Amino acid sequence: MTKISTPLHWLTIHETADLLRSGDITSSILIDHMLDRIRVVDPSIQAFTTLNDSTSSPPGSTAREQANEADLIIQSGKSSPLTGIPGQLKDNICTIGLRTTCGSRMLEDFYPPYNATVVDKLLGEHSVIIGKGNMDEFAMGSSTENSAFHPTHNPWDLDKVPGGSSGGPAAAVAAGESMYALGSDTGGSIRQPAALCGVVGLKPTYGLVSRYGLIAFASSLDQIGPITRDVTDSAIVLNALTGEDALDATSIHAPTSDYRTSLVPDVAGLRVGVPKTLIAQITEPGVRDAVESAISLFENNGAIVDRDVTLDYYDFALAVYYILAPAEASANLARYDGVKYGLSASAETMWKALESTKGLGFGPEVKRRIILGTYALSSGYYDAYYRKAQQARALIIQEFSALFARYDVLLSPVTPSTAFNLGAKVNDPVEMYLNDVFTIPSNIAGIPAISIPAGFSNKMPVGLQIMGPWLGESQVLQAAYFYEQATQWNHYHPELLTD
Amino acid sequence: MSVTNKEVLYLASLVRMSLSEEELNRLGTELSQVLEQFQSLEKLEIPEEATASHPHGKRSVLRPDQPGDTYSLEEMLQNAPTVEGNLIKVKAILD
Repeated sequence: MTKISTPLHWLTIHETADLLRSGDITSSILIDHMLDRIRVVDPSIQAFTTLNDSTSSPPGSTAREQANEADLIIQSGKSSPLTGIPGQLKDNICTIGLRTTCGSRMLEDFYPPYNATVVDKLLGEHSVIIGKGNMDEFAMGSSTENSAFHPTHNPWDLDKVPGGSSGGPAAAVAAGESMYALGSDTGGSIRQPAALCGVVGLKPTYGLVSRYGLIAFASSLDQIGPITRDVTDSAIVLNALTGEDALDATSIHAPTSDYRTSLVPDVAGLRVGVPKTLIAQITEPGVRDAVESAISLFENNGAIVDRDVTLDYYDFALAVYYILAPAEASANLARYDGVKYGLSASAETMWKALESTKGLGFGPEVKRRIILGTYALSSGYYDAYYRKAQQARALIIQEFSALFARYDVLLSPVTPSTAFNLGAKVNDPVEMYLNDVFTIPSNIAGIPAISIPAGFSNKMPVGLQIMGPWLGESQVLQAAYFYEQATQWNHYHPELLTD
Repeated sequence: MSVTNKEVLYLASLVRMSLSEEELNRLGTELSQVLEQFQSLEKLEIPEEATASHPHGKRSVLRPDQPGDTYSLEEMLQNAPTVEGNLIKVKAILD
């Protein structure tokens, strides 16, 4: 037997998989440990909306039962890298019989009749679903304060936000409550919370991962991706998620079957572009220092770095996003009529019931975006806003495509500053939206981008963003792996009172 | 660019969503602030051919229409707020 010196909850997927295979631990022991950990830690973090235990899940599919099954698979020698490993799912990813709220009163009692494709894929590998992650309502927000149920707290400082909208998943992974999580990223919702919580968050190429069963926010921008403790785990989870899906017409065939083969800590000759426009918009000196020293590290290890990259259309990206995403949302959210599922308000007439259902079911940010999107799509404004934004989107896509003919990856910050205090921006939508300035362009262009831990500023984690060309996950992961191996920032954990 | 409460009410009526007095007042101001951020787009010159509704273009995803098993009636109805027999009950649509 090997002596296990690190507490189980701080291990990575690949470390844990080795222990499971060697028989040093069982998945059942691991899941019991994680559920205990959640019981102790989560009252202060509040990263979960629902735990997958006997109080909330139908018999046969609780985390403990999934772990027992995983142990049988491991004993039979047929395990895969995720077998027996606990993962949390953002609460907009549908799970049969396990409540899926989307952070909204509208879906507070929604029990999906089907699994998202990614859930079937994870369960196919006998990963264990430990619970559902808190999020901004309908994934609209950058702080998880828009959850209809409760905010989530940043494990590095409980007075600060974990970022959003996948704040629950990022906080759960950072606090040792789950070994990995799946988030969704429409304008930065995986990468921004990953950066603010000091974990790894990957937004894959649009279409690489099926969106079937992901509750729609903005369908041309939404993408599911992994939140993990290190880059190796990111590749492992991505391996499990990719693939064309007949149930999602926008899904595409994955060019690589094993992203772990990209994990080579070498950037000699790698062509790295640094958009100077983005560096100039960092508002916190400690974030600038961290990003600058990351760039130098690439340079000193043989990468060919160009710090003078200009982005002609970048200035328009935020406007494009905040027109297109709400426009798509206003169409997607029209389905919540209180008839087929979801909250249903009673009223004398059908129209009144419909109006009250939406009035009661949606929170302030969701209403704001529905109205904004309806405005952009309405007669008289369609050409000035929606059409113009779609055209600008085409120019942004072309610009990135031209850039990636010259560079293998682009480096940038993930956020202008580290995590802000709970409540600081909740009443200022424009200020909140500005949090996404660095992450939005890759959603608009549909390209992959990762956030990896890059040190600390004022004791809070800083993220480094690496963007790659369409389907360029391999080079993004290779650059990220090099940086992680050279710096080891992934070995830092928040000191929670219970540790 | 300012949005009046009347305009917000009209937009809310288009999407059939009720707003409280307080929400109405707040949304008018907030919408004006957000739209101000969008004014930058006005300055952008667009070449004739540029448009994009999907990051990587369109392709045909048509497939043969093959019947298959999907969900049972119980599963389809399990989340419906009001069910009568095998049917979802709704309020009268016509007066």
